[in-house]
Amino acid sequence: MKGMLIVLISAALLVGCGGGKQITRLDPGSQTDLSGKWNDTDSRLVAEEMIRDCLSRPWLTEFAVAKGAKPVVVVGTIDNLSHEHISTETFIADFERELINSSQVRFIAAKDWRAEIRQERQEQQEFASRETMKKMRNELGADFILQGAIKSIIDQEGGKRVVFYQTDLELVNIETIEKVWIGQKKIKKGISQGSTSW
Amino acid sequence: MSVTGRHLLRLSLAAILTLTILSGCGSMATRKDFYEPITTQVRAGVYDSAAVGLEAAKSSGKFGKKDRLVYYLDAGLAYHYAGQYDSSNARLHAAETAAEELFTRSISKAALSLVLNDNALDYAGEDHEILYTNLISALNYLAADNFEDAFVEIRRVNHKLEQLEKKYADAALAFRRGAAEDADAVKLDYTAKPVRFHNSAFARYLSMHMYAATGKYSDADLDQELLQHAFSSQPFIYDFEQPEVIYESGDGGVLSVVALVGLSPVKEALNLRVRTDKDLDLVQILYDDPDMEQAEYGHLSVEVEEDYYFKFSIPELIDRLSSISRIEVYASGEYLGSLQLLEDVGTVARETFKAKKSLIYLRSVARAVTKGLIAHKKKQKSDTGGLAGWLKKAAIDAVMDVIENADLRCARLLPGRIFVGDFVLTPGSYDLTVEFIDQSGERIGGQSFPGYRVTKHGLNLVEAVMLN
Repeated sequence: MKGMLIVLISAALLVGCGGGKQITRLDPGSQTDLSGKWNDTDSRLVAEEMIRDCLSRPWLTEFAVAKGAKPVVVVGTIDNLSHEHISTETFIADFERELINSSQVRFIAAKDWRAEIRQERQEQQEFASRETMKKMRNELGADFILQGAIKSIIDQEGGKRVVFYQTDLELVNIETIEKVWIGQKKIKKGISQGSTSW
Repeated sequence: MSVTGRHLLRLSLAAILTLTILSGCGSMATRKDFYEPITTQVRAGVYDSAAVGLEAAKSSGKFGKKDRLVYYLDAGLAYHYAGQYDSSNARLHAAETAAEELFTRSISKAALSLVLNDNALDYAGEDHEILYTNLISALNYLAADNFEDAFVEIRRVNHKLEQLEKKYADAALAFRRGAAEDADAVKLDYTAKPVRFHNSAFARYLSMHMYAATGKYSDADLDQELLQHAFSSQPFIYDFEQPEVIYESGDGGVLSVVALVGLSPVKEALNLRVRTDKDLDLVQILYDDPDMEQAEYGHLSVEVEEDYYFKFSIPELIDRLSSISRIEVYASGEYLGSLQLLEDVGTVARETFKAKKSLIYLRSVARAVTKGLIAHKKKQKSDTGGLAGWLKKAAIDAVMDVIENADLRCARLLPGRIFVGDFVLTPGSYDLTVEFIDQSGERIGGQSFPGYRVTKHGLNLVEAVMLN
């Protein structure tokens, strides 16, 4: 009986042991992740690298030479076509920040924000003083729109999983619908499953 | 052997032992009695109370850490039925994460449960439970007009279905590794059975409508084809007529009604006990399964040379009957039509359970033999003769019985069947009613959606629930 109890207790202890979750970023420039899912670090890194690439391409100087001015850019839709719930609002905000901070382009508010601003301007026509009232039909028209999507591919075997994220962005001339830049950034993450909290 | 007073006493004690076993005592068994009032509440449509009941059960420790997935699944479902979509998603996402983490670990440690039983391991969920977690979560997002996240859930379902076969091949490998590392385990080989479910018609139905609602008609066309393919390529799952679906209609708006009906099958134990008693020259056999009202008991008086006790306990999926046979839809008093069956969750559950079933059965038999042999050795040592010796042996049998039980953990609040119907209406506002009819033609319940606005563009999806 004693022997059997030892076997049972040992087995119970072994069963109860849960390994911690181990996340490994496979790309250079190691980062720390908690869940292994797409997070703010990924969003920021992708935005920084893609905007850096975008602004280093010939379209920028070609536009400046042709028009004698900085191009005006708006960030359009970035679709989440991945297997994860990704906040594309945060992602878009990261792109906007990088574009503004670059000082190489002029930048206008995204579609969702414009309605509120237009409402404010509309009300100014009625309620603000003539001196401070902002003019109607004086918005800056964008020359280019940035659009794209985040996709993912999952590869898994046993308890190991590798998620491959691919962000595709395109910069399109609004007047001519010419694509002036296409960028792609890939992130690969390896996830070893551990135990969940309770 | 002559019948003496002492012999009669031992026979009586054997009967008492049998009765004790029948009463099902033991902390190594699945705890499910507390679900009875919760199930009654969901059947009665009192979903808020069911969610409260599940939270109370969690707080009072009725769900152990190893059972956390069951809580996440059922709480997620209860909150969905109650219309608390954020609370539902929080739990369903936790369920999905837990299931991913626990599956491989449960299989690789399966060899260890040869000594204990599967109830001692973390519950990693059944495939159908995880698949419907995503689909119910998609419905949660659609209720909030969040197409992007609903699409994420659909993609996850499709990915999991693509991976099902590979999952069990990986699992078989993990099991063999686990068994190889466990020197005490009985050496078993597990070869995964092929999973014959790779395309969910309900997932295709939802994404078809979502694509159409966002103007992506070519994608909607593709999903319609995949829906048809789900029926034509999996006749063992979809053994009924494919419902007619509409996602585009000239100037009209398409009203889509989804009804979640009845409750999915649950696991019940099938038990076989064999006991030999050399003192009484007796072989006892006790058998009970979920379809039997009473256990069957039999004994043979034959010469027995050794004391053995074997208990085989395996889980079986048992249907829960639904009283609903027809679902009718009315718009402002006008009959639109009946909903048609799109997916039988019970059939999906049985098909996906098959892949794991062979492993469960294999382990159960191996465990029963292992424990029986351990008990036999212990009884040989404890056999000091007389009544005291016999009682010691009986106690060992009782312990062995208590620690061997089928793992009956499962989601108990999943719907049993999914019905759908698409109706073309002139865009406008309607008082919608979904009526649930039983086999005798009696209306047994209904759900109203007053002032529902049907639009030409966008998704007009109504979800009705009746789990009776």
